[in-house]
Amino acid sequence: MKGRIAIIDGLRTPFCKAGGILQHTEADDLAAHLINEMFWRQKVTRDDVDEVIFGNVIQPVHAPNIARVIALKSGLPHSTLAHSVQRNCASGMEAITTAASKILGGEANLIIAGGTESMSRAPLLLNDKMKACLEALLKARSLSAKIKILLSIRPGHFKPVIALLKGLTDPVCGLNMGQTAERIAREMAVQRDEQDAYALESHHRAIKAYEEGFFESEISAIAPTPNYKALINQDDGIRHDLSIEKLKKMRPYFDRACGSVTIGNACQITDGAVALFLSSEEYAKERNLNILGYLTGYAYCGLEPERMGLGPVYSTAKLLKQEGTPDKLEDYDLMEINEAFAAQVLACAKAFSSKEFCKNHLGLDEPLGIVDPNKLNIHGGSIALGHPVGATGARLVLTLLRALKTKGLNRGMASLCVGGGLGASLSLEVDHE
Amino acid sequence: MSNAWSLIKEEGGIIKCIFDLPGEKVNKFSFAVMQEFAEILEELKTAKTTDTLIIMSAKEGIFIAGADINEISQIKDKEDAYEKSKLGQKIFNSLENLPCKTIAYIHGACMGGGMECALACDYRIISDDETSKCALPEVKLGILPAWGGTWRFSQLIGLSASLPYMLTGRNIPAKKAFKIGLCDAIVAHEYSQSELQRFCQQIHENSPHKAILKKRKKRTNLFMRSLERNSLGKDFILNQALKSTLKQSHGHYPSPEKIIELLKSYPGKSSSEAMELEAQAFSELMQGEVCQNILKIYLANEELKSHGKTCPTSIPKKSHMAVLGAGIMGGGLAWLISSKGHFVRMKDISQEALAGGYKAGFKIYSSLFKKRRIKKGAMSLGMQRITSSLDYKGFEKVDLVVEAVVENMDLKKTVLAEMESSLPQQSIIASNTSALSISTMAESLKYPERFAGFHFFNPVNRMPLVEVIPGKKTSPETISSLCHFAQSLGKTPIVVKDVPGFLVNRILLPYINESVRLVEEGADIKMVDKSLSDFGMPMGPLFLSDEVGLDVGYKVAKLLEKAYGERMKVCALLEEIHSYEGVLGKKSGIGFYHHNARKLKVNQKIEGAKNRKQDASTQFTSEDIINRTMLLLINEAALCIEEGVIAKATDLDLAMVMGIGFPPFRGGPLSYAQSIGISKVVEMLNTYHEKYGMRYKPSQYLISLSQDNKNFNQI
Ligand SMILES: NC(=O)c1ccc[n+]([C@@H]2O[C@H](COP(=O)([O-])OP(=O)(O)OC[C@H]3O[C@@H](n4cnc5c(N)ncnc54)[C@H](O)[C@@H]3O)[C@@H](O)[C@H]2O)c1
Repeated sequence: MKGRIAIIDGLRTPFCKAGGILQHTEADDLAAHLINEMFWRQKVTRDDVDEVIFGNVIQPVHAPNIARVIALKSGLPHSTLAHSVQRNCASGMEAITTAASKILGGEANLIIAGGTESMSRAPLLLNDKMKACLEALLKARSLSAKIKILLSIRPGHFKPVIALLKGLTDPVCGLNMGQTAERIAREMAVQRDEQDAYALESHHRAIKAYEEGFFESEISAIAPTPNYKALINQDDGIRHDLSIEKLKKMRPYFDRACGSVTIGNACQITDGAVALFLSSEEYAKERNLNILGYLTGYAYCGLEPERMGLGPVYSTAKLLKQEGTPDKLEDYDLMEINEAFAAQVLACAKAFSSKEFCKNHLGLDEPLGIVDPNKLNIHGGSIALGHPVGATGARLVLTLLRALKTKGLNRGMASLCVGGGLGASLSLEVDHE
Repeated sequence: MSNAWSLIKEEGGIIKCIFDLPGEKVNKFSFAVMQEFAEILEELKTAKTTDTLIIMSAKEGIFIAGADINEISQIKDKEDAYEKSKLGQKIFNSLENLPCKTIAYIHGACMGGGMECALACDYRIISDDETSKCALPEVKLGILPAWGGTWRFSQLIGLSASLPYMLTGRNIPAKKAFKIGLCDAIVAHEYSQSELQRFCQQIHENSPHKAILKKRKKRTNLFMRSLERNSLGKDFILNQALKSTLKQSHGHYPSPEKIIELLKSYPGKSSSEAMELEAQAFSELMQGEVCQNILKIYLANEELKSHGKTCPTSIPKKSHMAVLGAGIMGGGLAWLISSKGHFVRMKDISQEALAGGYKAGFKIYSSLFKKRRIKKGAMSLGMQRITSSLDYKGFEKVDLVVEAVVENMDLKKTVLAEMESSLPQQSIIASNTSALSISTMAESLKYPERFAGFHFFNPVNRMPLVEVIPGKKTSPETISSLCHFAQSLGKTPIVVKDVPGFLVNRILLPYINESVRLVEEGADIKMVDKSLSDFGMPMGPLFLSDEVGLDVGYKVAKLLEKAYGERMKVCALLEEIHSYEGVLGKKSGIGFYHHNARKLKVNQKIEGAKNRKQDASTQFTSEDIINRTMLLLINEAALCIEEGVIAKATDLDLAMVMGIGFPPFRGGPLSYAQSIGISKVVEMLNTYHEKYGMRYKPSQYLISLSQDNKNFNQI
């Protein structure tokens, strides 16, 4: 990258289990809530904002360009631009990197970027048989024709298509995300025991982070619609009573016969949003803004859809080659690899340090480096906190920068595997006084 | 000459008559304007039958706002009223009798006299603009439309269709006006030029013209029409209307009854006979006290509001506001402020309390949504403008903060001092306290000049009054900004002195206290409430106490007792009720009444209270109850004038009408006192003083008024 992009500050909503407390709150309301809160905390004003860019995967029917709806609900002037981005699980990151390239290209000074997802509000769709019936009904002229069509409806017509499940299945390779995780678990020989232990650790780390008050200033409490009964300020997926025994008891979900991936060692389906204020370094410094940290580089990669979980390894290899980013994996003080599945994080970790993998798949003479478990996902990840698809990418950036800041560290790398066969890695850093 | 009208002749025999009152935002019919209109009509007498006159307005959002109410209030007596009515009728008759065809093109509000003018035209065309609506709101001022309006409207769309609009004065939106046949066409204003031309052509051609008239008939309800055609049906409709009117007005408001009576007399009458009756009815109403009282309150309100508008302010149009304490009032204020486009920050001490604030705000939004007064999108934008915090994060952006924490001086002082360090120096601080001293509270502040009392009433969405209270050190700029702000929120600001209870609560509390004392002396709870709601109060004092919350009321009562001593001593029964567990009024489900039962039931625990006289030896009449309570209220009001708590007697009256719903037809407590006669009031107070104690001691002020034979307005 030609310069650093200042990430001035950010906030997120609590991440709450789909179908739970946030189920009636639209994705645009989640995000607008954050932006409205940010304007109370930031020196910049609404008039200073050039554009709002938001990642969102499900794209609710009432808000096709959700970023514009978010902008308006945030009280931004009508003249403020807005567009939405979709790179599946990396949508939140895509919003950040799109903003970065716009700022670097001189198109904008100040951009609000982030991601938002209400998995609860993913629609149920009519199946094709029912759809055909209804269409015929609309066209039918006579009453008898109408009755005939109505009489042809069978129970099977009412079986809905669950948009969420459809979206989690790759239409090209035919595998759902869990099955792709099984696939790379086998490829990298990740054991069930390792996965369960990893999942438990994710919860433990999240619990500890809460105890230390780490998330307090990251989360903005939200009063959920429709009745604003309570103010929610905590992620609700973290399980305090989880034990290795409980995890072991769970049956493999995606491959019942021979699999290792369970609901317990996979990420949770969640609602939530993240918003960040981005500008060029000069812009922020001229205005004396308190800067959280910087984006110094980013890379995306593509690979086989059925091996999508290994995306971070590919994209990180690309990232390390870039100017302005560290040369070695070990140069990063902290790392986030999104926990889509424990199997997939562990597979990535193995791949990073495997000479054979790096040679065969990345054409490298040496492995990329060792992933130190004490530097990886230190405040827990999507297994404990949940994974609102469009939002997670932005959360990784926010959480990582805040972790670097509080621990007095400098460099971090946030990465994500992307359904459909993509990977994303962002290089971040923090200055200390 | 007012130069309000201009005539433009166009091709095709179209004559546009444009109303544009110089120097005003709206078009009003003053007598000068009417005179000029009459001259123009005179001129038009030579128009050809093939010509078309179109009456239209050059104002934004207004066709004609009606008659000039200031002038109406200056009508001297019955004869004057009759003359003024006849004059208007004559002018609109000559409009009706012009040789050319006449059209009213209604774009914007068409109210009262404006609608009567439109009704005198041959046709009415309305634009579908949001501002376009018709109404005959005269009834709200205690009068009736008297420029031929009652006759023409009921003739045009029928008795049963027109009656509800005349009895309530409510708006008829454009689409509805077309649907009920009041208007003959509805058009987009943007295309009105060509649409009007087309319409003009049609009315001069035989069959299209017939079609228009036929459509007009068709739009009015057929069944009702046939019912109205026979006199039995007619009587039935009118008697039903009378019944429901009386149910609402308790017979206190003569104008709806008068309207019904008038319409009852119309069958078989010619238009000139009908209008004669209309003018007479109008003059009778104008002469009455009710109408005078209502007009007075109306004008006082208009004056205070327009005063607020002209006050200089330091608060930007779209500002950042904070509300301290997210309780009942805090939540209500968050709704009010956010609904006007400001960003609001609620600060409280717990997440639960903050959630309560959101809930209270949302409750108002959703009730407006259910009544279709607000769209879903606007509601969600409004809610998004409300944010919350447990600390003072963001307060450096605040232009105005309203403190609404628990009513406790020490707490308020601590909170204010604590907050001030997070605020920029120019932002205004206001307290929503009901009764605590502003000057004392100000002691905790570094910059007390930017601090004042800003007392909203509960529920914030329904109560139109705000007391603005300067403390000793408050700057005039602060007061000015607050008055302006209150007005921009759609409220009426009223500046009152920093005395315990300020104005409204100080006058209200003795009234409530006395009503409880009556119960203590053995009066029946329901009877007390009924007597006073029959008197015209929106609800009885005991029911009101339940609504407000008995704990809240008690607190204020104690505060006033401390400040004013013996005169406001809290009665023993109220003290006893205060010691009961969970008897807090409506919010706890039980107070003087059980509120959760399907039928309102009196709380037997209070009926059987220790401090209540249990033998039925004393009988209380409604008159006793009204006198006992009202005399205290009047006396306290007079004391407030004497002490200069408020400058003008009419403003005090207005404050009590808007603040506690003192019956507007009585014109407020001081007007009411005047209607009894000041010396009679003093005499009664003296008697009660001897009989019931010093709280009835007549104020020096009342005594001197009665000695000088003066009334409140003469000072
Ligand atoms: N309720 C009424 O009828 C009414 C009418 C007019 C004026 N008022 C006045 O408005 C004020 C609020 O009354 P209410 O009825 O809304 O009370 P309430 O009890 O409903 O709410 C008060 C709120 O203040 C909060 N609070 C307490 N300490 C605080 C602190 N240190 N910082 C921030 N918040 C704190 C409480 O948590 C609570 O949410 C009072 O001064 C009252 O006299 C009330």
